[in-house]
Amino acid sequence: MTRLLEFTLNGRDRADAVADNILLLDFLREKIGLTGTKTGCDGGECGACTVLIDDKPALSCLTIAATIAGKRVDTIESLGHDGQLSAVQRGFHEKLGSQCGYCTPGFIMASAGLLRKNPNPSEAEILEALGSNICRCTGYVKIIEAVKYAAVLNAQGVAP
Amino acid sequence: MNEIVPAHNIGGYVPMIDGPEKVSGRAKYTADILQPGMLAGRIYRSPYSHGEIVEVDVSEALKVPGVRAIVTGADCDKPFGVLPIARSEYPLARERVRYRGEPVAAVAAVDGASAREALRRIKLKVRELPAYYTAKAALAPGAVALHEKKPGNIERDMLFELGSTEQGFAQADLVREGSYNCA
Repeated sequence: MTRLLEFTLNGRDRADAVADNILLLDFLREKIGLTGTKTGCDGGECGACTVLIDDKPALSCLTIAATIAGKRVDTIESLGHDGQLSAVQRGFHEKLGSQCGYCTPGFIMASAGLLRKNPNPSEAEILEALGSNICRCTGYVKIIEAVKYAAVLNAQGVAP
Repeated sequence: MNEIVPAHNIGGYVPMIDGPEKVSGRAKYTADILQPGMLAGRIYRSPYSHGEIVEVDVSEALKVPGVRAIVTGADCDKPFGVLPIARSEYPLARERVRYRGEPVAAVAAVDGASAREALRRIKLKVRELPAYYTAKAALAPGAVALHEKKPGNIERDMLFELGSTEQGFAQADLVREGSYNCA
């Protein structure tokens, strides 16, 4: 079955005809063409597909697209404005928290979700918030530094 | 004499040239290249940890509508590997599977759902062999060799002795000994 799905994607309202069984991840990537959200394990283990649903990090590979009706979905493409990177994006770039980069959008969205809820997280809170994300390059120390730096930038007025 | 001015900043910050693309989601990876008419690929992986392959039967899988091709280890007789030591590896398992999850067959179909349905219909028959989950078990006398050319299941035995080890130990303020395992 197909239904009409109304939701807000990256700040813009839209209405799409979607199959009842399509995953949010496949809907974003294959139907809408936003490939910033990555397919990793495709089974809820790696966090590469993390997006924000009503500001909370969620795994789009475990979310049926039809369940987001009336909700706000933010993907990596929503961050940064007018050619300027957001605080979390700058953190990952400037503190070298991104190596091969494949896990990066998922880590960035999980971090953005954390900073929206808690602008000044402790290291333990950062570890907790990123517990669902795996970096195969294993650059975790830089990733933690990136989030701490993002919090500093955020405090200086750069949007997370 | 001219003073030598360092030309490089060791330990300094060198931004990644493609960093902004990666942190903004604009970087294109292979999986992000979507083209009209593209086929979807899915891999059938071994559910066995160790076994001799008796048969990979793809006949029922090929009947799934939308399936365009299926390849197995029989189609892949060229070993590959990024390092010379890895050149005993094949893209799809041949004769034996040596770990749970080892790729056995690959399906190309018009969409992911057809490819996944084909995976469900692939029948792998193996004669199961003992599986070892620790280095110690794999090294035990009588353990089945995982690779014919690696007796005793030893990949490489490396010994380095650089400089005077004895003197180094004698002069050291602290000597710490231990056995270390890594995957």
